[in-house]
Amino acid sequence: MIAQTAYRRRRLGVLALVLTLAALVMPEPSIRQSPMMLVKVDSAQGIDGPDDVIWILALGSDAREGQPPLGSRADAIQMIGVNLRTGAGSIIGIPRDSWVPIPGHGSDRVNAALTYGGPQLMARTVGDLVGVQPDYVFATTFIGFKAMVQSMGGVTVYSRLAFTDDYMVGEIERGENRLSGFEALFFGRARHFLPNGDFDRSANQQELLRGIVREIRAKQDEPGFMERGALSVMQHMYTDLSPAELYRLGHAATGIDPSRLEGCVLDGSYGTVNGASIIFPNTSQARRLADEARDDATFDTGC
Amino acid sequence: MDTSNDDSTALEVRTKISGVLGRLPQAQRERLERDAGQLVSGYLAAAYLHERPSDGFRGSFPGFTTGARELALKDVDTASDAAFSGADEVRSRSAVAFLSVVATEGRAVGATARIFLDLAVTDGSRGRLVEVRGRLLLSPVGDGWRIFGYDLTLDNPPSGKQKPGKGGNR
Repeated sequence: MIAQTAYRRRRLGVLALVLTLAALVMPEPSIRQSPMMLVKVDSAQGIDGPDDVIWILALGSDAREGQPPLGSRADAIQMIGVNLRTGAGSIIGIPRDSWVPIPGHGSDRVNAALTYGGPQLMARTVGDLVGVQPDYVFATTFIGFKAMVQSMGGVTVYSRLAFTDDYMVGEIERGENRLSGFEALFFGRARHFLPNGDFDRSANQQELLRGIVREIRAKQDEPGFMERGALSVMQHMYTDLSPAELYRLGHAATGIDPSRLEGCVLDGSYGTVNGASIIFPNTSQARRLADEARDDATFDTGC
Repeated sequence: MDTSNDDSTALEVRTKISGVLGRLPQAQRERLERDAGQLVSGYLAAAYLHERPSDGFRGSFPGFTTGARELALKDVDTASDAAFSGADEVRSRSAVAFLSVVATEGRAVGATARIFLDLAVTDGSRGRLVEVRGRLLLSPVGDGWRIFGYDLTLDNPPSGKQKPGKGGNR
């Protein structure tokens, strides 16, 4: 049964008196029509989320099926600052071969920190590099990432380049690409035919993040979409958040404006250490980017 | 009809779970339907069907988290009956909510309530149907549930805000 509830505001008796007199002196209309047209729409949205800029370290581990997801190297390393009050966001991409100090382990490639000490050590290592410690760490695997994109029904990205890769199956066109989970993984991993290798790959990962935010914002109204996505994240992503916190943060993330999600990939120079090819990252750029984005999640002077 | 002796502020929103992502035992589903129904009913009644106390809209958002309430206070034109607060009568014609739920380990950890509230608003000889549509975002907090977000539309509210009701009730 649908509840019928009413309240009546009791105005002064004057109104009733006027209406009564009007009824006495005026002919009653044969049909009384009330204006019931739908003509105007007001809307409002608000989500209780963090007021300040929050920093999230997003990691993609290269663990294959059967391997421990957090004991492997990180292939994708993106430090994301978002201001949920303004919708602005900044992403600092860290090339995986960046040679950096890892607390307690001397210097090594940054992605080795995940193997040495899990997400916590990885967070500290990247935090020390840029000068801002992440509030949250999200880590997923190839398989998990693919599943999460699939749960959204795919993702659209805008590629600066057309490319393929001899080592992987996939092909990307310049401009708009609608990608399945498998294709999105290719877009975020391929690097061999990219002119700037790891740097271009990191930029592609940032475009993937933009695409995911666009997808979430476009579909958040669909019944069950946010819940399906949240469940997939809970199943496929490591995070130190409780499921309820994750669900709330996921909704809060719909406040991010993808057109204001600016990405910079850390510069660096190629080098060799103990015969291994590595990148010496531009640490002063890393500090500057994080300093500029620290309070409002925007890069004041670009990359 | 004088409703002064009725429980005119109660509103029972028909609440039904439309989908569960994850595993949630039947007993938990029934409990969630009941708890969420009470939460949603409490808000909709307070926001759209209550006499407004003289201190304004602070009481219009029961069950909201503190942050969500602060946001809603800036959106009273949509998230409450502020746009037609001077009307003579507001009556709910139907009130329904559908819940999409996400659950892990047998427990609900979040839900979206899709609301469909139809209000018949009468002001003098004019009557209009005002439709409240949208989503309320629900999360377990402590032993209960709270509304931590909203995304609402108000179809056909009167153009131009009306002055508050007389008699000190609004």
